[in-house]
Formats: sequence, C-alpha cells, structure tokens
Amino acid sequence: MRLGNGIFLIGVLLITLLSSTLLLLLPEETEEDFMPIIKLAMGIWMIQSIFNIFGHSLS
Amino acid sequence: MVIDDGLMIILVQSIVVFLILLLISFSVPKLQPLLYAAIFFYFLFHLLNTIVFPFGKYFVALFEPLPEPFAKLLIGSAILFYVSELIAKHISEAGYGSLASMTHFAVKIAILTLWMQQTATLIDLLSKLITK
Amino acid sequence: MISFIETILGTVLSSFVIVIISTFMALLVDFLFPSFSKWTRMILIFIVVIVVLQPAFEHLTLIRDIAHSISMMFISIYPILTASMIAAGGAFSMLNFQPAMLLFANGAIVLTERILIPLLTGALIFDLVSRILPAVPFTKMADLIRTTLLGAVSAVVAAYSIFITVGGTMSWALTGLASEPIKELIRQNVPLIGSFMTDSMGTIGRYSSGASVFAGGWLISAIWTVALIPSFKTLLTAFFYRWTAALIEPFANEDITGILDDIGRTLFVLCAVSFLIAFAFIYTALFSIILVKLITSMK
Repeated sequence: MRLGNGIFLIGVLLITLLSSTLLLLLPEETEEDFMPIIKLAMGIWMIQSIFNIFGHSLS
Repeated sequence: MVIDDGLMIILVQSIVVFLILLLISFSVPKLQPLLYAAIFFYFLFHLLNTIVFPFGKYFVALFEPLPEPFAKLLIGSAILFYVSELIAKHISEAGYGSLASMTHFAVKIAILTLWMQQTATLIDLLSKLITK
Repeated sequence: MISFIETILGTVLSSFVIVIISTFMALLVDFLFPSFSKWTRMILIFIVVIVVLQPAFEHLTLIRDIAHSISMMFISIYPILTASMIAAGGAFSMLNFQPAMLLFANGAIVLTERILIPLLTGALIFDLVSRILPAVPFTKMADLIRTTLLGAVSAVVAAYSIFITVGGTMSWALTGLASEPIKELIRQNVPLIGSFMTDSMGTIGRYSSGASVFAGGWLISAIWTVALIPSFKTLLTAFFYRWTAALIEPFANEDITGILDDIGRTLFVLCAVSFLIAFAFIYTALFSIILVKLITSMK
C-alpha cells in the first residue's frame, strides 16, 4: 500500500483537529498530562507516512 | 440527533441529583459519603451511556478519513483518561489521595497498552533501519 | 548514486533512528509520570548528545585531518615547486600562476587547521551548553563565532577570485548563461552558505577551465571530485541533521530539535570551511600537474 502525499497531509490535519477538540473537552489542568498521547499519535502517524512514502528507496 | 434529546434530560437529572445530595446531607449526614459515592458512580455511568459514548461514536464517524486505529485510539484514550481523572478526583476528595493516584496510574498504563501495538510496529520499522 | 548516499549516511542514519526511538520512549514515560518530566528531558538530552554528537565530531576531525595532511604536503612541496618554477622561467607567465597565490591558498589551510576548526568546535559546545541549561545561554556567542567564521571564509574566497581574475586569462568559460539557474537554485536552497558555495564554485571553475588546456579534462574532473567529496559529505550530513529536526519537531522536545538544528548549522559552516580546503587542494594539484607537464615538454 502506498500512501500518497495527500493522505499524509489529511492525516496531519485531522489529527490536529481531533486533538484540539479533545483538548477543549478535557479540563484545563489535565491538558498537559494528556499532551504526550497526542504527540505520540502525531509521531506514529508521521513516521509511518514517511516510511510509506519513501519506503521503496529506504528498504 | 440523539445527543440533543438526551442533553436536556441529563441537565434536569443533574439538578435532581444535586437536590437529592443536599437532602441526604441534611437527613443522614453520617451516611453522606457513602451515598454520595454511590450516586456519583451511578450518575457517571448513566452519563457515559447516554452522552459520552454516543458522542464518541459520532466523533469517530466524523473522522472517518483518518486511517483505522488513530481516531478510535485518540478518542478512546481521551475518554478513558478523563473518566479515570474524574474517579481519581472523587477518591481523593474522600481523603484517599494515594489510592486515587494509584488507580489513575493504572489507567494510564492501560491507555498506553492500547497504543502499544502501533508503537511496537513503528519501533520494529525503525530498528530494521539500524540492523540492516 | 543512491548507494553512495547510503554509505555516507549509514552511521548518521542509525544514530537518528536511535534519537527517534528514544523520543517515543520519552513520550511514554512523560505520559506515565508527568512529575518526572524534567528528569526525562535531561536523560533524553544526554542520549541525544551521546548519539548525535559523534557523527558531527567525526566530520570535524575528518576535515581537520584533511587540512593537516594537505598543509604538511604543502610545506614539503613548496620549496620544490617554487624552485622549479624559477627554473621553468617564463613559461608560467602565460598562466596566472603566482607563488604568492600558492602561499596564500595554503596559508588558508593552516588557518583552517589552527583556528577555524577549533573555533567551530567551540561554537558546537556553546550551542550544546545553552540548550542543556537554558538559564545560562551562550547562543549569542555561538552565533557570533559562526558568522565570524563564515565572514572570514568568504573574505578568503573573495581574495582568491581577485587573485585569479586580476590577470584576466582565466575569466572565460563556465560563467555562461546555462549555469545561472542552477546557481540560483543552490543559493536559495542551501541555508547560510548557498551563495558562498556558488561563488566559490564559480571561482574554482573559472580557474580550472583555464588550466584544462594543459591538463586534460578528465584529470581536472578527477581532482574536482576528490577535493569536493568531503565537502559534499559534510553538506549532506548537515542537511540530514536539519531534516531530522524538521521531521521530529511535532512530537519531540523542543530542546532536542534545537540541538539537532544547531549541529546542522555548525556543519554548514564546516562545509564552507572545507570548501576552502578543496580550493587550495585543487589549486596545488593543478599547479603541480601543469608544472610537471611543462617540465617534461621542455625536455
């Protein structure tokens, strides 16, 4: 499966949207504690997409 | 929409619960913590069933284009985190702070195990680059 | 080409993979123990410094070793070169070779070895220190060192081009219209030293195209390749640092991306310095080749 550029961008956009809405719902003092999970999601998404885009030349 | 119908009822119910709690604190002050906890948990699960879970499903559907695990995982862990935070707060209000932080910690580990599969595949991918 | 890049990036790539993995690990630990986050940050910084600083220092020592060996070579070869130049008499006056120029080129290498590289190491250390303890910053000092170095290097290269073009014999070729868009591309895309790179390449190109009349084109291109490989390697590594910093910025601690970015910037300056060496190497090599050719053809 080869993810195109567009899907990567849509994913970044949607994860940002989703997490910002979730952060609105969460109480303010717990926002900081929940941040690592969002970063984790974003990181996994980015690395996976990069691998999918450039995977053929790397492996 | 399902949420709109439930919302007004929930608001009314919360006022009713508040009144009941006030009533309890006047009539049986000794039993108040116990009854408070019972009503709290009952109301919490009621709330989860009527509002939070439908909303979560709606939310997941909203972010359909996002590839499979991400939306579910994010929303699920947010809900889990919030509920655990709420319960921990309740326990620490009753005076058992360390117990509260312990349960919260356990739930955090549970949330991380949800993510563990994704992380494991990722680390596999990355470590292939090193060992190649 | 791909395999060439891979051999260059092999070690660097694996260390960056370690950085990414440890970033994820730090995220997990951060989530589990929010109160431990200061410790996590410190541990993460230590891991990153240990893993990432090594390739950068390898490049520094590589360039320094090259500078050292070239200056050694030059010191031993210079008397012979000048002596034979006097013996060859007027044959050199048609080309723009001056012994002063040779001395200047190799003086630049000695400068590189003695002053520029240690200063660059200092800049790297200052950056690192100010990232680890943000309350005691040395960023202005590091920036000052970098800009000063860059200024010194560009001044030397400007002096080169004055030396070469003042005679007028070398000013034909390679400044054609065709190379302008490529120059513009490099100038815009390589941060800090882009315009410097195109300028110095133009200078070397002008010079060596004049010399290619005497020493065949393939020899010139071989010298070019040998001289520019360290620079190219350094440039690629520097880019890799900045790419990684850009890639992990959304989910990593900003100190980590800052460290990577700073190292990348320092490596760019190192690349500029290595151009200086390449230039002197090309000059000396061409000089010797032409000298040998002239002497053999005179006999």
